[in-house]
Amino acid sequence: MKPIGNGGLSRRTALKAAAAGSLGSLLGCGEATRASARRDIPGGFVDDGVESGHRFRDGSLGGGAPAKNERCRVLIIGGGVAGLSAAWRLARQGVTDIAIVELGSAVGGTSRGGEMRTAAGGALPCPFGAHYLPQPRVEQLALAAFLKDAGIATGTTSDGRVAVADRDFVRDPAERVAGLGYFEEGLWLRAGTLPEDDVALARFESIMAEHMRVDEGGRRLFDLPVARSSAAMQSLDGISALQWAEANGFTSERMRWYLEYASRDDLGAALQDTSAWALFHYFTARGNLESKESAGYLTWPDGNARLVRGLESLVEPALSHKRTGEVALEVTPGEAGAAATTINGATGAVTRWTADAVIVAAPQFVTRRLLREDPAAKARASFRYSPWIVANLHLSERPKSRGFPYAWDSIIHGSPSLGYVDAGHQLDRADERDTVWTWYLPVTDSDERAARQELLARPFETWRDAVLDDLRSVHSNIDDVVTRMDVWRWGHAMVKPTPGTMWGGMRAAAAAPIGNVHFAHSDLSGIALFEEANWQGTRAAEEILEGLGMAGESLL
Amino acid sequence: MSESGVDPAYGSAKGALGLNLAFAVVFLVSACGLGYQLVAGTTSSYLLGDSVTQFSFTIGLYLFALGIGSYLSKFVDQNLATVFVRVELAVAVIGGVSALTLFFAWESELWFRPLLYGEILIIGTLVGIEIPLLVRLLEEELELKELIARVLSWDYVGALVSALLFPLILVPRLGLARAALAFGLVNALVALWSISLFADRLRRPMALRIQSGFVVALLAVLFSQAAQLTTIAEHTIYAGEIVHASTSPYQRVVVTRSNKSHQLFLSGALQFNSEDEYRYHEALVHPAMGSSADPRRVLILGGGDGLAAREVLRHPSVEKVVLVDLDPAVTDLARTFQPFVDLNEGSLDDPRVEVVNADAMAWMETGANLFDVAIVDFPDPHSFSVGKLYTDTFYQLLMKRVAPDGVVAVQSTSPRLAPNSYWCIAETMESVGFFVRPYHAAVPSFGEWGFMLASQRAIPVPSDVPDDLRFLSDDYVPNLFVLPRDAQRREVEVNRLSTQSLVRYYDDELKP
Repeated sequence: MKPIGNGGLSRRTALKAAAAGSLGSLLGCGEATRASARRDIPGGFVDDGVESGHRFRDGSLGGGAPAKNERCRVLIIGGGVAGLSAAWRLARQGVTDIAIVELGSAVGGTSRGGEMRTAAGGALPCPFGAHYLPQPRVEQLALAAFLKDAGIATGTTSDGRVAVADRDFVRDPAERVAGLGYFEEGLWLRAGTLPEDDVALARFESIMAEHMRVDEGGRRLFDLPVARSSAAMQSLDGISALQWAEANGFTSERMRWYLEYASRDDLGAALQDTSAWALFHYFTARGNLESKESAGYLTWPDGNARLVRGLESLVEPALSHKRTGEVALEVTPGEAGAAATTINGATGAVTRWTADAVIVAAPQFVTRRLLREDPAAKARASFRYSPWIVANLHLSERPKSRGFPYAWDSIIHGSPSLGYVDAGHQLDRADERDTVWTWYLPVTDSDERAARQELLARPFETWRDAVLDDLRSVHSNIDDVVTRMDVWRWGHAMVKPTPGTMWGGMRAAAAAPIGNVHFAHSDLSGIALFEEANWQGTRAAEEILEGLGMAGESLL
Repeated sequence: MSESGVDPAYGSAKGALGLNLAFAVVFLVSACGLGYQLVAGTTSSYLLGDSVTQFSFTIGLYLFALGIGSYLSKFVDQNLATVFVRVELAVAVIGGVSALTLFFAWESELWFRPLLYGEILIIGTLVGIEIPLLVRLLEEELELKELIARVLSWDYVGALVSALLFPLILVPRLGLARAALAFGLVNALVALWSISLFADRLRRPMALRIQSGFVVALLAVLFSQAAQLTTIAEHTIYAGEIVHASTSPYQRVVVTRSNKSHQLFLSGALQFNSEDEYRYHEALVHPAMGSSADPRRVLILGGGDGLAAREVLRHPSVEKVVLVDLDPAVTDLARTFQPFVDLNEGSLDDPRVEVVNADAMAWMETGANLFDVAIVDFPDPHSFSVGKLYTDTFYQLLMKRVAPDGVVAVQSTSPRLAPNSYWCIAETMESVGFFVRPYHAAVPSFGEWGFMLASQRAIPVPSDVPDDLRFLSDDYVPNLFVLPRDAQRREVEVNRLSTQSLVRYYDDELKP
């Protein structure tokens, strides 16, 4: 699937629909042409950090002004979930004088969220990226502790999960899927599904249930964090999820779509670019070992930004510096401690930092440019990242929709997008007034670099039209109700768990500390999950606590 | 002149032009025929859902009906041209109004499907008669292989053009009702045109012209009035005469009058009938008021019609009533529509009453002042958005706004018609710590209706109500708390935001 490129999305959607039923596609085409003339919806790009990141890469940023010296106990480069989690773990153990340096205009990384201005002058919360967290098990110690510290967890459930207020779970109905413009509840489209498809799904589910177990040593075959998983299934990392699916007879259109959707949604990659191990991990790591039931989803109107706010308020008292719009130029491990140079993206002011320890909580494509001598340079260069487009649409009211009523997540069968999440669904109001939809497109092209360049080169109008064309296939009057669209382009949204990357050794190499420089990022887990970012941050923090002689009970 | 024979002048004088015009008739007849099929398929998909089934049935029935028509055409021996024109006019009328009649009928479980399939069968049969008749009308003009080839090609071209125009232009520009009327108009004009074309072979062309003109006029009028007709369609849904109808951002508000009583409908669901609403509102309000030691501050959630407020104000101890209702269209109606003002005794304009138009769940989170009594009068949990107002999360919020010795009454659907829903509400209220006393009352317009009386402490069955009521008396109130055998408690789940069990129970129990 090639979501960007010539042709636009609507034609492809229509052609896919045509394959399934000509009358439906005819009606679909009618809807698609109906309001295509209306193109005056305001909006634009809202992403930030892209520019200064590029200037840093070009070398056009830096030099000039005399540097200012700063000292702190621990310097954290990168204010995403991994960096904030590291700061939280340090602060929890009593470390103060922590500095955080973040490239973007705010902390939170891909878990950022914000507000969309409404036509009436109000504002509605919405995510800019990651938007849910599966209810963790209590053995996920760091995450459970953080949720408790942040006042989100209320205790422990009878089946060993972190208890959370019902209002923080995805509210019912959770998801619906549209085939030919008609919505059904759930993700598995029933219309047009053959009996053998249902058999295949049941067979797939039973294979996954079989893999929700522990090995002889008591380790789960697939665990969260990834690092705790058994070694038993590592051979699956040698093949792609597509190869595995084909070898096991999961080849029908329905099954292929279902697996592809899961892979695109949670791993940001097409099946052919996904490690079979990673796909198994997605389907099994959250399951209860006895009941085989999967975890519920926690979510908030602004997505995982709720968790970022929790982290921020917990670390605030321990911070001596919090710099946003600040680009790291270099990190140098020293005899005792470490040093770093950063520059303000707006003013060009340079800061030279000395600290007892530095945590580089940035993705590896950034980290590799910061270290002059890097034994893991080759490992870092092998990480691949998928770009994403996240569009927030403000709607004056919900448009026409056929079939099952509005849910949290609406999926369009056959679309290259993942559909959209309704931010208003989690708000405490019973009415059907204006809301915000967050539309997601993982760019799953195998050549990420070319896709990324094209993604950044395209004007806003391309995305606006593509999003509206996609939505028009299920909501004929979408153009009449969208009042604004904000598009966030993520050049490197998620690390891609391509075959061989989960257990090929590069993750371990890239995670190894160099002197007093430590590394923390979800990409070091191979999978871009909040849980993994939180665990990697905790791990890096505990390495430092060990060195400072402040180690307490481990949360790993 | 024999009608079955050929008019020599037709072949010679009018020649090729006449023949081509005849093929244009074939083209239009076929295009309109497919058009009605698309109207039927789309209308039924729109109203019933499941487009795969609807279109399969529509196409299958229509093709079958074409076959019936073709077979029946052999019984037409005389007056071929006249029969053709009459059939064409019948198609124009039945097909033209097909979408409208379906819209009118769709509230009726009994009649909608028979009407839908009946229309498809009749239209298909009539169109099926037409094509063989046309072939026979033209059979002297061309040799059979040429004739069949041309007629069938134009037939299929017509189908293609119709299939393209319908989704691309007709439905987006005209909507379904007017698209069908447009096809009907084309059929009627074709009839008029055929009269000229076959004038020599018609017995009374003038009479046919007049009939055609009448059909054209009828369809044109309907076409221009299609928007208003949607409103008229509502009159068939409601038993009484509609005396007020408006659409708010949240719902359709309709007031009807029958005999001397008024009825309020919100989005088609009856809210009250002035004839017996006193039974409902007395039962909703007075047990809770009677259970409070000193009801001074009262919260009403929902109840924008002002009728619960009227009952609350009968208690002289009341100092302040806050009424929170989402829809200003309802509270405005309760304040300005004279029959309602008479009914609620102007309760919403009473100086003790403060009306807040806000979402109840959001409103409860914004304040902290406590109430002695809370009357919860929401619509039945027929949708996921209303279902939120019956969740444990909602009752937790409610509990925070009620004084420790405060009392709550909740309208709780019917314990007889929807027992799972009724007991789900009780279960959910108990799950957050309310002590709950379920009760019921007979309200003829609704049937057996259910309520919950709840408090944070155990409370006795109330037995003290105002003296001047029409339904309740001190003696009778305890009877409300005795549930009949067919409404006994059953095991149900707690209603949560994450499960919406109540909406699913209600859907199972009350949707046909």
